[in-house]
Amino acid sequence: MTCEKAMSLMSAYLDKELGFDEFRQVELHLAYCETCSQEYESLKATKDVLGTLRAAELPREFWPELRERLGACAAEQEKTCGARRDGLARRDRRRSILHPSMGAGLFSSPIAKAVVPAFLVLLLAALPAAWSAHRRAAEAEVCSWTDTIEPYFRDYIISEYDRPLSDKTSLGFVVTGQAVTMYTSDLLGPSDKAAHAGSIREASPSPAKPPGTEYTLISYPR
Amino acid sequence: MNKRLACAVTVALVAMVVIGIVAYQPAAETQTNTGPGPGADQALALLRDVIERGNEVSFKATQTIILWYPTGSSACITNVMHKAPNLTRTEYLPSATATSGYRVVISDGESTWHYEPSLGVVFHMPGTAPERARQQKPGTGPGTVSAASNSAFSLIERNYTVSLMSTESLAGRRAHVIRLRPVNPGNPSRRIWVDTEYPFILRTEKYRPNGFLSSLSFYNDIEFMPEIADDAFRLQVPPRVAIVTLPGAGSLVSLEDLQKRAGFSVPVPNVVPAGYVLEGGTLTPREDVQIAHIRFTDGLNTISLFIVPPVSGATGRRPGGPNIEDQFDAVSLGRQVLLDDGTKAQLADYQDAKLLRWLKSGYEFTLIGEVDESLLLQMANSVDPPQSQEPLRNRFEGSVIRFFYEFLWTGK
Repeated sequence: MTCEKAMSLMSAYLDKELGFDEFRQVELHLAYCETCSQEYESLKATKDVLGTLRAAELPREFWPELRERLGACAAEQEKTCGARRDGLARRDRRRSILHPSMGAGLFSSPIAKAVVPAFLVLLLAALPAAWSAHRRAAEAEVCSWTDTIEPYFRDYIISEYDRPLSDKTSLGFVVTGQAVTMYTSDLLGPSDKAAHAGSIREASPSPAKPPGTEYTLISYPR
Repeated sequence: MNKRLACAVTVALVAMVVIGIVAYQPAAETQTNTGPGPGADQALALLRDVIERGNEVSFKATQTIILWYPTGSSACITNVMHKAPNLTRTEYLPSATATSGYRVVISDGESTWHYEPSLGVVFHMPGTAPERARQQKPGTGPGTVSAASNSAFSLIERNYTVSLMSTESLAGRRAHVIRLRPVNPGNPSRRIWVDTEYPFILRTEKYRPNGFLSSLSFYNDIEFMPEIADDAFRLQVPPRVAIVTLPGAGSLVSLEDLQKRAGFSVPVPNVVPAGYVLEGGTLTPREDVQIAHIRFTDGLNTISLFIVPPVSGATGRRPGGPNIEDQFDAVSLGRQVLLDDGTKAQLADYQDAKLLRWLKSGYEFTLIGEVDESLLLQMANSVDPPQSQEPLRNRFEGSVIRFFYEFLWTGK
């Protein structure tokens, strides 16, 4: 996880909108990177402050004025675009709901005047949620099943430690191997991975890690 | 220099032996069970001794581990030092078959420290207690919690046919060969080699329910009761190596306590496989929810059930981000099976374990065990969670969002 990537995901991380994998990566990155950690704190503080602000009240005359202006604009647009729209509508009568024979009647009724804007407002309001649902579904597709299952399997193996006659060295072999698999992508960036590929005995920590610092994963990424 | 050369030759020889063993197709163990085995009393006495006094034996050894999975195998050689009662240092040496580098794991009785030089990281797991608290006496069915070692021993006695097979030489020692075969089908069996002088296991072979060897570990050489300085069990963390603290395993508590602590109704299977008892449960945090982990045992083997409670909210969002139904459908685990009530479940092999996962009444269940899949299905079918408590408003919001999502993005 690079700083740039972490920054781009920071807001979503703060809102807990990230998938398991990304959430885990950002969390680990923040544990390591002081700069990003500061940025995160700053963003969090800003968000907290914004959360305490009350919405400003609009002046009483705002809505009538807005309605009046919108009406004037609509009338103006109707004049200039009406002919063109009619032409387009004629070209595709079957599809167009705005066909004069149907649309005029439909949109002129008071119910339609109320329902259509309400529907549009609802549609617009639902867009972010729909987008969010789409993103979640996309995340689910890329979420590998090992991400979903490995933490459970790890807990299962760890709980075997205290079984009588269990071979703790074998269990340790499985658990430590799994820990490395689970955390490698979190702890190393792509360049670090390449650098570490050949090293076995020597610790080659990332320069981003201040020496002698102890980090704690506050929320264990399961 | 000569010492290094000798060491290298030893490691090379051991590696050759390991490669030979890995390449060898493990033989199947017959799983039939015919009442009490020969020398059962002596074998049980040896087992009891190992369970009760095994930790009192200090040693310094080289151990080889080989694991066979359905998809391949993995092996490594380790240097192990143990100072009674609870100091252990294990060095896992680099191995091509394990695709791993050198790593050190130290357990000081309070915590476990895992130094991974290839990552430049030390994983610290505090509170990895060697022995968990267990209350009550040996369980007799679901809802009871087994006691400690005594109950484990009585469970082994009840659920396994223990036989003393022979006496063999191993790592320069004499050892009794003991076979443990499950009374109830669908469970793994074992063979263990117990030192004739010390209550210590020199070799373990574990067989799958189908009789095939799944893991093997043995000592190449061992020295009992050596003088080991305490310093050997202190991890010298090199400079600029980060320490990442992970939560340790919690102590098992009774089901009643678990229910109180969890703050949600913890559904348990009404049926457990023959010979198994509920041992207890624990809670583990996962982002903003607590996951209940319930463990069942037959004395040697365990089955774990993980329960993620329903999460209220417009989207039913779970730890991990995506909506749980989407995630469940999108993440394919092995093959799909249907429970008796028509609930979709996913069944998979994970290393040597079977894993069954399903959703019901807003709960997410995951069963893991090194047992036959029929036992897991038997348990899953008997889990009857309370109906979803999700507020009507949330269900409505979820439906609206799902409608727009499907309308806008999938065109349904």
